[in-house]
Amino acid sequence: MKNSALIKGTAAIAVGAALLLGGGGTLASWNAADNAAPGTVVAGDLNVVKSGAGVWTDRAGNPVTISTYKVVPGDKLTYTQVLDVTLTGNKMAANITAAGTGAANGFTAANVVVTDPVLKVAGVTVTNPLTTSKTVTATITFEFLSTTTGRADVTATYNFGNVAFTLEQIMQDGLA
Amino acid sequence: MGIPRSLRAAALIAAAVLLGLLTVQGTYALWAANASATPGSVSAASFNVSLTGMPSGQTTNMTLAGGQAASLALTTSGTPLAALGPGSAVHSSVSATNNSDAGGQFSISITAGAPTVTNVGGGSLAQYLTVSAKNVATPAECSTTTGYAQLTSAGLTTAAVPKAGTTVVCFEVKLSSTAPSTLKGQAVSISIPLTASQLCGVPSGCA
Repeated sequence: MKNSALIKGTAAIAVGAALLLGGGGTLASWNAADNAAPGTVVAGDLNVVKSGAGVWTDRAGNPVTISTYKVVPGDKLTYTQVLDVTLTGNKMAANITAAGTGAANGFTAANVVVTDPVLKVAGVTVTNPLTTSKTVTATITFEFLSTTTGRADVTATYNFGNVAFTLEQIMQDGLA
Repeated sequence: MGIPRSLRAAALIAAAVLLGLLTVQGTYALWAANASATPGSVSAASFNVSLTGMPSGQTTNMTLAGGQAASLALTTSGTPLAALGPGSAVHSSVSATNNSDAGGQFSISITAGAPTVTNVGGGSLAQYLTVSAKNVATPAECSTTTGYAQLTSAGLTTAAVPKAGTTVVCFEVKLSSTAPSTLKGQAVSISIPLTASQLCGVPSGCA
């Protein structure tokens, strides 16, 4: 009787194994596969660089060499710096700003008018934010007023220091 | 045994600061680029006018180093004017040179104001003298008696003197033909104020 139980157990295992083999037979039936090509993700670009050196011009628009030019009352000089702004990206938007730092005024304040940097695109003042690449022109003017009297401010110096141009991306819908 | 109020407040502040910092940091995490320009320095010109007196030959800058006005003697004891008789005249001159180092146009004009004639030694010669002036190109033209106009409070203003240019103002002192003989040997001191002014030579400037 003991052997009978052993035989029955062995037979059950054998049936189970056969069933498993039968199941394995299903794998050999129909199958299908496909490929997808998600493509390439390309990053945009954001940059601001000077397009050549800035130039100074006098009231008549003639270029002057600022290191040797000496102003007199009535003179008005304009500094122009062209900037290449690169903005690429479907959701790209950026603000451009300009700020002067480190200026040192050796003139009497009432005798000169110095403007902050003004940014323009095609002659029109920049409206932030920019979304596409642009050529931006920054200008600063220095006027030695003709109302200056006596010999006030002869040989005085105005150092413009640095003008920093900053292009900063801003949040857009769809970005987080 | 709750958490002390001060501790709770501190925790709240810390959380708020941390949140604030995180928010700000989020903005900086986007792209940014910088460029910088150095426009340089603007320098003002000098305003120097040199004067040469004749016949003294003295020279001076119109403004002294200290900023005060210079005084120029046209005659000295060694270089006196000729003796003056009734109806006759003597001449002297001042040459003014525009020595400014201005970058653009910088023309000036010189104005000779009304003369102050003072008797030296208590005489009465002054009232018989007439001081006139004219603007010429060279001192040699001063001896030509034509073109003189009496100096009044309106003064005589020269033509424009460009950078490095020179102009000459001639002075004529004439003794009236009615001067009495009692004036013989008397002397006067004549002082004439000179002013240099910038002319607006800037195109469409000096508004």
